[in-house]
Amino acid sequence: MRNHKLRSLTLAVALLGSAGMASAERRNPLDGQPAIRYRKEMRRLRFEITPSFTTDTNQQYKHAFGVGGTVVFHFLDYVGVGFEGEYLFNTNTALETQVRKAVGTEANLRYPGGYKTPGPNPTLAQHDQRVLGINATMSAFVQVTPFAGKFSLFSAAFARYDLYAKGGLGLVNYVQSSKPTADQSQNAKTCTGTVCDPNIQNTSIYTGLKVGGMIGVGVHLYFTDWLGLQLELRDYIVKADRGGGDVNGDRRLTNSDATTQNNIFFTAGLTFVLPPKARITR
Amino acid sequence: MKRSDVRATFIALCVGAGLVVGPLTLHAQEPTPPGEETTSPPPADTSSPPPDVSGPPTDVSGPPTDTGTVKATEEKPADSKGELGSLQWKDILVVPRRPILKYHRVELIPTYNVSVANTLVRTHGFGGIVNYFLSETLALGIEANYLQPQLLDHYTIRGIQDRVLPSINRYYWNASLDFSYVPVYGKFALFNRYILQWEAYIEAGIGGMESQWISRNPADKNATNFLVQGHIGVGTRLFLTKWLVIHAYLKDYLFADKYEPADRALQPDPTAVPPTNTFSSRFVQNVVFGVGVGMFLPTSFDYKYTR
Repeated sequence: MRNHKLRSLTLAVALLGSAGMASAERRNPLDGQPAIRYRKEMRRLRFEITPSFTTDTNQQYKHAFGVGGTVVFHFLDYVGVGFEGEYLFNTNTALETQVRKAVGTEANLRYPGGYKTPGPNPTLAQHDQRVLGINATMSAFVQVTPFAGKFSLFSAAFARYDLYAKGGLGLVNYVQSSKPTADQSQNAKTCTGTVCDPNIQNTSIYTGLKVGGMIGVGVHLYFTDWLGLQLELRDYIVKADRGGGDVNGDRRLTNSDATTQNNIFFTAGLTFVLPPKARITR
Repeated sequence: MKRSDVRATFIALCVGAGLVVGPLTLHAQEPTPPGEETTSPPPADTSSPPPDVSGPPTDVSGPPTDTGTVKATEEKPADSKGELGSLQWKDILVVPRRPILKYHRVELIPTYNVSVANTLVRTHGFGGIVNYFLSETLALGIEANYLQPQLLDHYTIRGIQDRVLPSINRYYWNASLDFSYVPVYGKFALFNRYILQWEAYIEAGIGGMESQWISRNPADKNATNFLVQGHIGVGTRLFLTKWLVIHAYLKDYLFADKYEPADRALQPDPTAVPPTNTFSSRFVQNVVFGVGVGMFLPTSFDYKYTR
């Protein structure tokens, strides 16, 4: 009888143990689940088309502003590829206006009968024709959107938004504001000693399309599934000589005067997302 | 005796079986983990009456609304089963409580900022801000920065190319009394994995600063200016915890600065500071981008509920 009781007790303990194990195997039902269910995927497998207004933020000689557009296709909700381009107009910066005034005044005092090489001060005409502006920018890029969410404005209006970063190939087209009128006949490669005068050398070597990199960050504020506001900062990093003059002090205008430049632009545009209906996750 | 043994065995088996089946039953009563439902359409049927507390919990994994709230009834308002007297389930909104409270807390923010709009001199600012929150959205603050200049290449290049050196000043320090307001708050998911809270604020302030000439000729004496400045700005707080935040901001410091005159060389003694009426006065917008790490004190807070 004692053996029988012992067997019964052992069986009960075994069952109790198995029950405990079953309990230990219970898991948190939220383990491995996405942070948000039924999330609107505002970007996945959709095109983003953004006409925009662009202005520079750090040009030293000439402001550049204009219109452009961006097209992006998003493979995933957080990765896309695209390209963009802008056509830009130029005006003198406040600093350039001051410098032009000083250059003109000084040149009139120094060269009452016309420019005398080797300068060193440039005339206003020489200054004006060598200073470069930017009339176009372009880039092809990969765009990553790691942050997306919702926000409340005054606890009354609610909207979706995302923050993104982009990077890729950048192109900047530098132009001179006018056709050369001053003498630019001196050859920078053959001139010697103090005869070398950058004021009468060819400055057009710094114009044209410069290839470099582009990085950018931006935000989309979505009014609807298919319409949003885009604000973006882009930096085109290319080698250039924006002043079009001698930089390294060797009195020769060569490609060695071109240095790495950050051309930072701010863009505001309206983003249209197609197809107009966003997918919803499970 | 034998009969007693059988009864003991039976009782032991019953107890054991009960202990085994009990937890399994509890397991079965747990709500299905989200995502493991086989056929759950997005709009969950939440229009039914509240479930019996002794019954299995209902699946409440329906889609959240745009506002982050969940309506008790969304799809079938006409269903009279959901009525509670004059109150209907559709009248009940479940609003998540505000995740972070700032009311009557102090925020200490060591900051670094850098000027972004000046192409001749870059100014680095090292300082701090102390904010006291009068409400969840309104804060009063004190800000101070030590400023360090960095001459940029363009200043030298202008000298080489155009034989012109523009008048520039360095800034030593600034201090302000700030008022900030939080009109926007939100949250975001990082790769749909981590949910973080953030808010955006607008700010205005008034205070003073000190600037000094950087003379074209380093041998010349420099004038020092004490100026009144105002500023406006926008910024954002990203909450890492209930007391630790990351700041990023843009501020535009507005002031009228006084510069070295262009014709200083024509003065009787060019090395001496010229008369103040010859100073060149200009309105300056010193736009800076800054970052900071904010710490809220006290580090915790309590929710208050109306009775």
